[in-house]
Amino acid sequence: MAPQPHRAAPARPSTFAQYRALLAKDLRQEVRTREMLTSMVVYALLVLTVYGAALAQVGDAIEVVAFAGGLLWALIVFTSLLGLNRSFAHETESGCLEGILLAPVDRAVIFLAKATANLIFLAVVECITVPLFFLFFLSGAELAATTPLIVLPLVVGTVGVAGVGTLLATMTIDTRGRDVLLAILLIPVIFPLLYACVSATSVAFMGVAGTLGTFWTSLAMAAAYDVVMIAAAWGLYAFAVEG
Amino acid sequence: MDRDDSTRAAARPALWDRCVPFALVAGTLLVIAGVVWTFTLAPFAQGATLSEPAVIAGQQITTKLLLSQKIFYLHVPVAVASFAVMAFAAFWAVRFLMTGERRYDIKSKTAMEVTLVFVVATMISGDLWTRFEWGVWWTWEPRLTTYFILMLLVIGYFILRNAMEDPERRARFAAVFGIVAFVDAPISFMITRLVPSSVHPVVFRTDSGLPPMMLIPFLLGLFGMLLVAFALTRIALRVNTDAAEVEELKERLEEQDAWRERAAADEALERLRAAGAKLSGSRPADAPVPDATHTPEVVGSNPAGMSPSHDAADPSTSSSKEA
Amino acid sequence: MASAIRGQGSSAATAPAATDPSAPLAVSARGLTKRFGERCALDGVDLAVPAGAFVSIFGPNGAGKTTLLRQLALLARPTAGTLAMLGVDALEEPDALRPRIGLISHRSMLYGDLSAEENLVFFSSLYRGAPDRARIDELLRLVELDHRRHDPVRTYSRGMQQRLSIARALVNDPDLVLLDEPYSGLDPHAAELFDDLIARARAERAHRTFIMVSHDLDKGFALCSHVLILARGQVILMAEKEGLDRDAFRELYLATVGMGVA
Repeated sequence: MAPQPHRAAPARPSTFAQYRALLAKDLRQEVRTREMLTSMVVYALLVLTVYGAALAQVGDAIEVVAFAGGLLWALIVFTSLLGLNRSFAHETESGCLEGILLAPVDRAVIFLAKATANLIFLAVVECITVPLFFLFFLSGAELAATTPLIVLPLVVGTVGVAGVGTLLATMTIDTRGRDVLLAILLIPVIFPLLYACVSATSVAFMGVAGTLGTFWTSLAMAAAYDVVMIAAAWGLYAFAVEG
Repeated sequence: MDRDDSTRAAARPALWDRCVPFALVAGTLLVIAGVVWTFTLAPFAQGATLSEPAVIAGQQITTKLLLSQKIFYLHVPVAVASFAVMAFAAFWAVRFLMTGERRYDIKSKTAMEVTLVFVVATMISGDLWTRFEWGVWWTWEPRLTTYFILMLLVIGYFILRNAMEDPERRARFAAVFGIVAFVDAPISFMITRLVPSSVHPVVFRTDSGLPPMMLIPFLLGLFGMLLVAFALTRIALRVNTDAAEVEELKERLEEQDAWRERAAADEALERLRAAGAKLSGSRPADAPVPDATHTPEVVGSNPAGMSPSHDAADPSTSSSKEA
Repeated sequence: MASAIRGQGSSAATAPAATDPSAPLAVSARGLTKRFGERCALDGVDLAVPAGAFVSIFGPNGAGKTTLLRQLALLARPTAGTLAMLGVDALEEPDALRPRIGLISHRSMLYGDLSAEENLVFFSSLYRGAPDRARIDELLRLVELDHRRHDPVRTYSRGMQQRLSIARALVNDPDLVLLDEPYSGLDPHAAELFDDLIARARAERAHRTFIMVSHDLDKGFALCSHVLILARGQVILMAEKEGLDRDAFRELYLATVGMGVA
């Protein structure tokens, strides 16, 4: 059958242009309202406050260094849950996600754009809250020379949380008890990543001689997690996003 | 167009089902045999710190340590079985995503139910082992941690299913999460073991190093447990499929009611046609005149012939076949 | 079974654009089925919609109207059957068709925090890579929201949001426009404005086809050139409005309401 004679067929849009448009839309929305970032930072401060109460009896800041890695990652997980839930609120509010699905966009591109946006938001929040964590709990502690290495597990871990979290949040937004459900699904799935990142971060904080091997092993495990799980999320995303 | 019997196909009586009672009995017997052998004939072994169990001929160290090692014969088979069943759950989830047929969703969900049962059994046996071996009820060592996470994943699967109303979306999302959980489980297993921890020594148990007296009851237990898992899955599948069928029969009953209303609609349609409307896609003019006791057979936009159970349930429709 | 309707000259009450007999069918569906297990949302639907028509779909709750519309919008795939739209096989090449279809729903599908212009730029970019600014300006003028183009959409009234939604649906210049209960939540004045814009949208492109699901029998009947009644996933009636006895039609419609999902 011949196509409509009075118009040429539209050109295929470039995937990168679509990705950029999707990402720009998310970033622009957030810059406009700053709603999500504000609530995430405030929430992080509240968690730090709770930590303050929890650690009030620990006299010596040096002892905190031993489990600073764990505390830091718990903070990141809780804040991420909030951020992931908020980031999808806009899509469901007016059915915008359907508007995107109407267009000839590869569903994997939607995943990438969303995951990148979430990653950026999480990174921004971490840039604020990690220094705060240092301020509140590690002032006066003698930090090991290897402390700057924590940036590496932070990056690898955040990438994993953003990727897997985007897939799971896409499924949970439209359900009953959406926020809790995301936590119920995300935390067990993210557990291996968390375990590896806490290990690496702790080693970096402690800076005990000869443990650097552990650091690199843990980091490699976390990276392996990222590769496998993000590949799985990428492949499965089309099923999670179609109505 | 036939009514879809995809649901019924999920539990078509097959060779597998005839095996079920045999498998259940055989499996249970094997497990019991394994357990009995363990407690009577299998040699005793030392405690946790060794990477290979050592035979201590005729000499008891402490009763606690001896008993704890015996649980191994039950615990590992249960753990292996749970993972094996989960593999099937993931496989059927993949099949569902590929085909969209409901029976795969039923199979996948059933397998997950059985997985849950076995994972809980693994947790309990693992916990007992830890209690006897290290004297504590819980420790974050790799084995327990991995299975705890697995249990959370399977529970999460069911909570997700529960939170969704639309059956097709529910099936699709459950399949996605089932696959994610299945991919996550071995990663969890490996990472908890491979990430060195200063606090908890990793206990490597090399099963291949077992001498025959210990290997045989272990294998008996393992094989027996797999048979039990298989049998349970088939039984649960039958239960679930029957439940789904009941649901669908209810739907059909509802439709029967709607068909009766249809007679009124058809009369109105005839009036329209008589008034000169230009129709397409509706019943052709030569269709039988509708009457109240007669569920008309409609050609074209309706499924060619209603399903056999319609005719069986409603004697008045048998006359439509002659029309 | 059903032969395609030969296009007749349309009455002035329906459309300025006549159906085009030489163009391929806007929608050609055969045996379209959407089921899951035994639950059947669409049960062997056959459709032949000529280009340029305005089809109003009526039916009771649970009839499958929205399901059908979603199939046509390529938001979901059927379990069985064939679907060809605008001369292209929808199941084989959905991405070739997507740029030629637009959907207006009762949900606006607009981002509240972005301005009207930003929303249109975004959707335009999805279809074309680089946004078509000229088209966006044209559309904002068409829906008479040019003066508010920089305001965030959440400051718009419901009526304005629906108007902008029309612009969004037309941003890719579609040949087929689908409407899913667009009047819900609109007061009579806003509904009138909306009607006016739909008329403009019909006039804008020759042979642009419209398919609308509506619970409003009078409005749907007034706008359309063809009527379609669905009940329990099946086509009860598909006919040209011309020559249709209105009262008999109303009777049929009321009779089918009894076939709704309890």
